Amino acid sequence: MRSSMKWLFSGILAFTAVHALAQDIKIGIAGPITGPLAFLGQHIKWGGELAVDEINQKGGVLGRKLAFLMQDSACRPADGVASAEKLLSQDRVDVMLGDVCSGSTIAVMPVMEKAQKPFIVTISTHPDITSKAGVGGNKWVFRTVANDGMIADVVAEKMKGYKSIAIVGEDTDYGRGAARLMKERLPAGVKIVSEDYMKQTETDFLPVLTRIRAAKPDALATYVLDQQASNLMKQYQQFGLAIPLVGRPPLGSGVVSEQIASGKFDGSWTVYPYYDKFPEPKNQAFTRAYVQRYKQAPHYAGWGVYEGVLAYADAVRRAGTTDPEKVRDALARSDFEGILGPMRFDANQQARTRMMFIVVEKGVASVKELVAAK
Amino acid sequence: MAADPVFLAQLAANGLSVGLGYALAAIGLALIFGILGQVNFAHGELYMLGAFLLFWAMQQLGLPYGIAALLMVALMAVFGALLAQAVILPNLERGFESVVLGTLAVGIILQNAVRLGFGATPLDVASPLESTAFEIGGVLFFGQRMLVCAAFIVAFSGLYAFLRYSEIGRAMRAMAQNREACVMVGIDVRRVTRWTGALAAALTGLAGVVISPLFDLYPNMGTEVVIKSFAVVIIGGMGNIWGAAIAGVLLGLAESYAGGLGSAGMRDGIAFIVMIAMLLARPQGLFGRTVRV
Repeated sequence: MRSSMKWLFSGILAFTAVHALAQDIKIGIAGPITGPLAFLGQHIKWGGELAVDEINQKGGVLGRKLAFLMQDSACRPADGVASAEKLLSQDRVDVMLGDVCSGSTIAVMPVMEKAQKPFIVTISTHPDITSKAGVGGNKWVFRTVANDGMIADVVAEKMKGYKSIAIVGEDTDYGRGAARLMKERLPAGVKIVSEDYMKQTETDFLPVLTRIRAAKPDALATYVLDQQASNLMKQYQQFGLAIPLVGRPPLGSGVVSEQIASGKFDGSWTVYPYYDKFPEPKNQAFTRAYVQRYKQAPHYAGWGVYEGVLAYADAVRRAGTTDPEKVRDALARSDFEGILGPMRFDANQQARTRMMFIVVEKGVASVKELVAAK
Repeated sequence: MAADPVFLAQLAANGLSVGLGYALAAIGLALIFGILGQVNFAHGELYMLGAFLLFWAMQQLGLPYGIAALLMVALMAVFGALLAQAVILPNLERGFESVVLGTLAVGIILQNAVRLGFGATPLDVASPLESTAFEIGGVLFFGQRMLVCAAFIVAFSGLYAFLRYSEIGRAMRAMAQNREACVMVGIDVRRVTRWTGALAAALTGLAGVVISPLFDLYPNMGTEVVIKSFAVVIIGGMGNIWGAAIAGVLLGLAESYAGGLGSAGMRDGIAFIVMIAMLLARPQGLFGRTVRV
């Protein structure tokens, strides 16, 4: 009995050793599978798997298949690091993609530097990720989406004409950071009547809305993610307010589509890295495949990961190897043609990508303008 | 702005309605602690389950809100009795931590089962009162939040009458005083435990079905509720249902004024500050630990 177990065990070992020779190219990500942002994790998984399957159906990359591996981060820095380390040491992934929450992504950055593997940030928008990457020190980090600083430039521009605004944001690196960047760029004469930051899991906006109802600002600058926005908008309707949500509300998210359709948010606008209703053939082909497979329109996070995988595959193809150093160099010279145009990285390895200015009119949110980065 | 009486009245109205919601959500926890002397760590998940069952009954069975809500509260009572039978009863004599671990396990299982069954995308249940509001002297009252207040008043008076006048209610109070003595005088302790589980789950489920239309549904939604419920139960006196009611309202008002006059970020701080102050000054809570009616 004992020796047969031994045989079985060594058999398994031999099998894994042979298997490793023709191994898949592994793409890892630590994202929120649990916690309040779990549904974004679902889109990450969907976007990644769709990209991997599309590539594998066409024969993979360099004759090898791609594999997409996801571990839970719950969007917390400590869990993000633990998951990244597991993916790197046990699963031996060739590349990692960034988390949703900037805090977790930033925490994983030094882990990637130590592991000397490329780290492609496709969702997080905190500007520190850019300033620490490329010439900023960490040569392994690339970011494919616009950062909060780039977006704040556009947001502040669009704020012209308001006399007073109120700010509501999540109490995270993202909420506080993005709101601060907007405030620094705010045109002179725009008064801030109130500022509230609440934890990501807070669902009750009663005190904030009560205060806003009394203060009557021209606009409510909103820096919360989808689920909180949905709760905010639900309660906003009960108050019968007619103050537009501006700045960065996730107006393109499927979670708030019903609220948008009510017509009570006409005049609200947002600047976002991506919106699935962007009427461009390449995007329509992507959203069609996504909806067909998952019965839901792609969320920004799904799109980000989808394009991140494609951009990585493109770099591996051009490098002719998965050698991390060579892939990194290929990524730095990327000219990958994405949905928003060519993905080219600057000295900080930040893609100078275009951003979407989305406006709600007659119960429909649509892309009004594709704004180039400054 | 801060001195505006309409604004202050609005904060009072908000605080009262939110506070009665806290009280409604916390009573189930107080009941199990008061009568069985056990802490139910699946409390938040019972709330979450009530909300998801409501969603399911409305989406899959096509029932209107009112009927679905009542049916699901009844179903939650059955679930509570099963929970008491399967998790609390076998562990009742084993000491405190066995029930804590048992109910914690049930909570984790429920959370992940719901994630598996419904997915992680936030869901929405539509109640006919959801976006209704009426105004009295500039102060807004919200339909669904008024329903929460009404549900609390009905549930609380029902519970009061039940504990006071029904035979099983009297047995429950007896058990809160002394379980060994109950066994000696021939009270069926197992039956009382099942009844307690059923009542607590039904009350928590009721909180779930009336409060959830205000917010989105997601598998982790119970976590928030459980924090507030524990705060309410600790402030009010562990196991004291009157204490839970009054502490809920006080907490709601304190939060409303802190959030309205200060900043929204201060709201959660308030619950914990009051809780810590209470533990320092009056560890037995406002009213002490006894099921009194």
